[in-house]
Formats: sequence, structure tokens, C-alpha cells
Amino acid sequence: MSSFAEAWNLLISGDADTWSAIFTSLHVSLLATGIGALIGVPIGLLIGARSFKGKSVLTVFLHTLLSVPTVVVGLLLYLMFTRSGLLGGLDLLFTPALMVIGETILILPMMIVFTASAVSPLAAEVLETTASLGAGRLRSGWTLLDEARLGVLAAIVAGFGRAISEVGAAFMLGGNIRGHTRTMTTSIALETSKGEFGLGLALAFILMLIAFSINLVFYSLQQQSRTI
Amino acid sequence: MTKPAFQVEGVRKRHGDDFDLSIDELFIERGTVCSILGDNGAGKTTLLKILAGLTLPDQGEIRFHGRPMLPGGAGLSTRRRMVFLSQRPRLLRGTVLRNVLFGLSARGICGTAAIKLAEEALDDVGMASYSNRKANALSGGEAQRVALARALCLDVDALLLDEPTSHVDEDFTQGFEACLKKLQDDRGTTILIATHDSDLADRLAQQKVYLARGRLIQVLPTPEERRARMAGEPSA
Repeated sequence: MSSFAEAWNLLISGDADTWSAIFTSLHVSLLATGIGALIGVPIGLLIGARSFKGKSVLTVFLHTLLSVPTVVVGLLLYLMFTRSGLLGGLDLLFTPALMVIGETILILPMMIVFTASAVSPLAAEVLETTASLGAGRLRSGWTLLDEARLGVLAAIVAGFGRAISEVGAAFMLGGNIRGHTRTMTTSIALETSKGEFGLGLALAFILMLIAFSINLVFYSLQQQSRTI
Repeated sequence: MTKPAFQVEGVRKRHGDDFDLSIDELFIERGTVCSILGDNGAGKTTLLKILAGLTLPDQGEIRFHGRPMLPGGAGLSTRRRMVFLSQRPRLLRGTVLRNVLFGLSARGICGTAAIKLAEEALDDVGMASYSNRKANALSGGEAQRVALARALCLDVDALLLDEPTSHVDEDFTQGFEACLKKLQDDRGTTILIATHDSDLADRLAQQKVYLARGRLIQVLPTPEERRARMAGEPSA
């Protein structure tokens, strides 16, 4: 109970570190989810709706990427963006921008796989209907996404869930800099390593509360679109 | 002189593991009602989808009003001159009216003009009062009527119907037949009906195509009769 009280106090007292971690977490996760959806949903739509050579191999590969540990993504990007790395000149290491890139790469396979799974069972019937009514490719694709909207929304929610709860890549790419790249998850890891379990639990509680709130909004959206 | 609506030459299409659809030559006259008859699995739907440009043949060529049917975006303008109605039509989410407006919107017809056309088509199939109902709450028969209205409101040169009366009652069938005759008389629309109902074909069709296991077994009038008629000679 003391952890909950501490969490509550941290929130209402406007503790700068707590609010900065919350803001950074939301900023990075929402941006990564938005970019991931813009890239992943169209790719998932194409993979789910079309038949092509190598589709099975690509699908297995994408499923494999779902299991890639976050620290592996963090390590690869770290090596690329470190001063001596291929993209070191961009000077992005330990910035929120690189954290967004990392989280986006991390959630992209999930967005693609879930979107493809959502549109695939509907594709033949919907695309035949739209084509028979004279729709072009763009309108047909949009209509298919609209028909599979519940699954596509689930893909976006799952992507956000992975981004906000991730710690490995955020730690390696952001460097856990206080007030700059420290997120709720990296902060929890740090506080736990210092033996500050109370603060860690408090942040965990806030993280769960935010995740719950955002999922509740998505769930309401899903329910609304189910009735239309 | 009779002009062709559809010309089929050397078309081959693998149909699952059952058979190959194989048609060396088929000529469907413009402005006629043509029924495609055959038992279940004869290849009626496959032929209809190939004619509609929805399924590509493995070999051969289809011409519509003299122009080759091209796949993808290149064939879009040709495909917009016809509409295919599936045996189990899928209605899209939203209201009945939104569904009927879909094909019109794809052709750039929007606003009050489109709504007027859609409401007229719904009235023709006895669904005028359903315009604001949710499409996914309709019964099978009602959905088929809405899909028919969605096809009828488009000013197309050819209407391709796959078992159009399979889920509707007899009263509707009579109205539907009158509707097709009106379409043929007023607009000169070529109407292809895939059916196993020979009575429906007898009542409506001027041309009949019989299929069995993917092969043409009879075409009425026969190619000889058609050629004779085209040459202005009395048929044998």
C-alpha cells in the first residue's frame, strides 16, 4: 500500500523526474507507434492481401522477428550509431530520436504480422467485391483495411504495448539520462538496482495505469466501430 | 449485324484439382440475355469471373466490345463498364445506402445525384425502406437484393450475375426478371446469368451456353446459326 501512496504522492506533487520519465515514455512510444503504423499497416495489408512467391518464407521470417530480444535491436543500433559506427555522424546516440527509431524497428514486425493476419481471411471476398464494383487498387485496399479495422486496431494497440513496456533498447539507445532519455521502464530498472523498490513499484504502478488508460481508449474505439 | 459483347478465344484455366476450364471459342452477342447453364462445379462461376476480369485465365484472350481485357489497373476502365454479382455477395460495413453508393463513388458519381440513383435502385428491388439499416444485420435474401441494387444502379454495358435468384423468394424473382428485361430494352445491357435453373434461362435468355466439367457442350444459337444470321441468310 505504501508504494501506491508513494506513486500517488509523486504524481500529485509534480515530481519533475517522475513526470519527465512519464512524458519521455509516452512521447517515444506514441511516436514509434504512429510511425510503425504508417509503415507497418500498409506493408501488412500488401502481405495479407496478395499472393506472391516467397510469401511463406517472408511470413516465417517476420514471425521470427517477433521473438527478437529488445537488447539485440538495441545492440545493433548502438553499433550503427556509436561515434565510430556507420551512422555515427548523425550524433543520435542517447537521444529520444534514436529511441523512437529503435522502438519503431522493434514493433514493426508485430504491426506487419498482426495486420496481415487481420486482412488475410477477408481479402479474397472483399477485393473481389470492390473490383467487381469498379474500385481501383487504392480504394480497394482502403476498403479492406476498413473491413478488418478491429484486427488492425489490435495490431496498433499491441505495438504500443510493446513500445511502452520495453526496457532493453530504451536503455542502450537512450542511455537512461535523467530528465532527457529516462523512461518509466529504465527508471524502474535503475531504482531496483539501487534497492529503491518503493519508487520502482510506484513507477510500475503508474506505467500500468497509463497502459490501462490507453488500452481502454482503444477498446472503446473498437467497440464503437464494431457497432457501425 | 450482330456485334459481340464478349469474345473468348483459347481460354484455359486450372480449376483446383478437378478440371481445367477450356473454351476454344465463345461469342456472346451484345444486348442479349445469355444464360450459362450447367451442374454444380461445371465451371460457370469461373467463366463468369474470367469474363468480368476478376480472374485471369492461364491462357487465351477475352475481348469486351472489341477491346482486350487487361489485368490490373490497365483493365480498370473496361472493368468499370460491367459489374459482377456474386452468388453470395458480400456487403461492406455501414448502411445499406453506403453499400449501394460504393460503385457509383468508384465511378466518380457523388452527392445528391448518386443518392438519387441508389435510392431508385433500392426501390427497384423492394428495399427502399432499408436504406439506413446496417448492412451486416440483413438476412441472406435481403443482402442479395441490396447487392443487386448495388449492381443495378451502375450504368454499365454488361451485367454478370452468378445464381442471382438462389436466395430470394418467388415474388422477388418475378420482379427481378421484369427488372432485367427493362434493363435490356431501355439500356441495351448485355446480361449474363450463370444458373442451373433451366426455367429461368428459358424465360429470359436469347443465348444459352451449356458447360460440363469445364467444357462447352452446347451453345444456342449454334455458331453456324449465328454466322448465318450475321450474313443475313436464313438459319438451317
